[in-house]
Amino acid sequence: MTKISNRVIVFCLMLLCLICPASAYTTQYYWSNGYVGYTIDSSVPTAYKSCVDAAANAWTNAGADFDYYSSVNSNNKVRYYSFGSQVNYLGSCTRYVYSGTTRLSKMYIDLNSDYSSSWSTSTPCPSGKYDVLSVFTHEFGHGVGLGHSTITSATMFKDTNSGTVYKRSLEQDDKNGIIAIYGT
Amino acid sequence: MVNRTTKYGLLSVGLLSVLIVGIVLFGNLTQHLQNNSPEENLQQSALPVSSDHLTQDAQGNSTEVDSPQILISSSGSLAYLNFTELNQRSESIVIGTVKEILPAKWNTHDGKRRGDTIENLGEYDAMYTDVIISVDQYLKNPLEQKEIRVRIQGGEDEVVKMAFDSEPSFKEGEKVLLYVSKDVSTRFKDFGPEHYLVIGASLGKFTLTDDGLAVREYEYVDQKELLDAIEKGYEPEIKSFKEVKE
Repeated sequence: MTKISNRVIVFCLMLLCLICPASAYTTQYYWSNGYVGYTIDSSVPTAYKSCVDAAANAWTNAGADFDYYSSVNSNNKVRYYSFGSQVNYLGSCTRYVYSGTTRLSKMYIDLNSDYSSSWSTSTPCPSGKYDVLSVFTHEFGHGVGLGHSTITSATMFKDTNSGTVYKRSLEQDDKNGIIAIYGT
Repeated sequence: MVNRTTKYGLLSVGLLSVLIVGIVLFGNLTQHLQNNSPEENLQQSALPVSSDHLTQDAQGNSTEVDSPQILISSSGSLAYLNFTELNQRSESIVIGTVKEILPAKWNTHDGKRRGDTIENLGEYDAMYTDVIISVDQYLKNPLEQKEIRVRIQGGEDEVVKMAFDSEPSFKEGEKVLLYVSKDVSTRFKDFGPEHYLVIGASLGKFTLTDDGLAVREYEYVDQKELLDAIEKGYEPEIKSFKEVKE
């Protein structure tokens, strides 16, 4: 066999190693209109309200045919309340659908007030603290209909580490996920 | 030195790879160019959370059931708790067997659902499922009870299925190790008999297998090492695997 065929073999092997899964995100639900209003509940501390809007805007600007917009009277609420002091949930997104469809009817995005001493809006996020904007961005990702990603650096990866702010900005996998649902 | 057969074999694999990559890329490109509705896009891509999945999370059993009319899916961001933190945050650590999974209830005064439509459900209404654990051993702070009631968020009735993706699941007859504390949450503490929560959600529940492992979602620890770590207060070695051994 010649050098050329050896190189072809090496190239093909490299290509084989580089084959990635088509996607690491997971899609679950969708909003039929492609735009969703949300209302910030009065329970949300004033200092966190800009984080809510920033989180929503991250997904609005992800390149998909989808928009979040702030509203004063939406049934989709962003709330701040006690989950229970023993509970290690930082936040959650609760989505309502009628069985037999994946079309979302309502959602709540919540931040756990029991972590009040551990929340941070600073950059960088102090060690041992959790970034409010990162958690909201993750939860708003569930709000568009995404599940968790297997990419550890993605905003939609299931675990949230203290002292980090990287989930504030969407990775390509996150963007691919919302585009997969709503198109461009 | 690689012989000709091997080389041709590798070349074939490589060419097949190129073909597969091409098909995948072409498929993705075609999908994005199509003017599909989000629903069509969802049908072409990953699957939505199925009702079977929700049933398993709440009950731990994979039984075929008539689908309720409303699905409520809650996805949470968890703060990761290591073993030291699980130990610190838990009132007690128990080894026991799942004796019974009780019918799900709502956090209302009568335990029942308020309405039959999404619009009529209360804003903070939630379902819970109580699991009775027959205690074999207490590893920390022995309680008087030989059985404890552990509450998990989520459940199912005739109309609604509610699932929390970070909650642990249980099966009757399962041997488990649990980090627990008495429930003080405003959402559930005042409803039903005295009960406990699993600290750390799915992080605080291990299935103890016959081959000596302590298994939780996608991770396992050697049982003896875990028990030793709990007693002596160190972090055991956690290993990951894709499929949970049972």
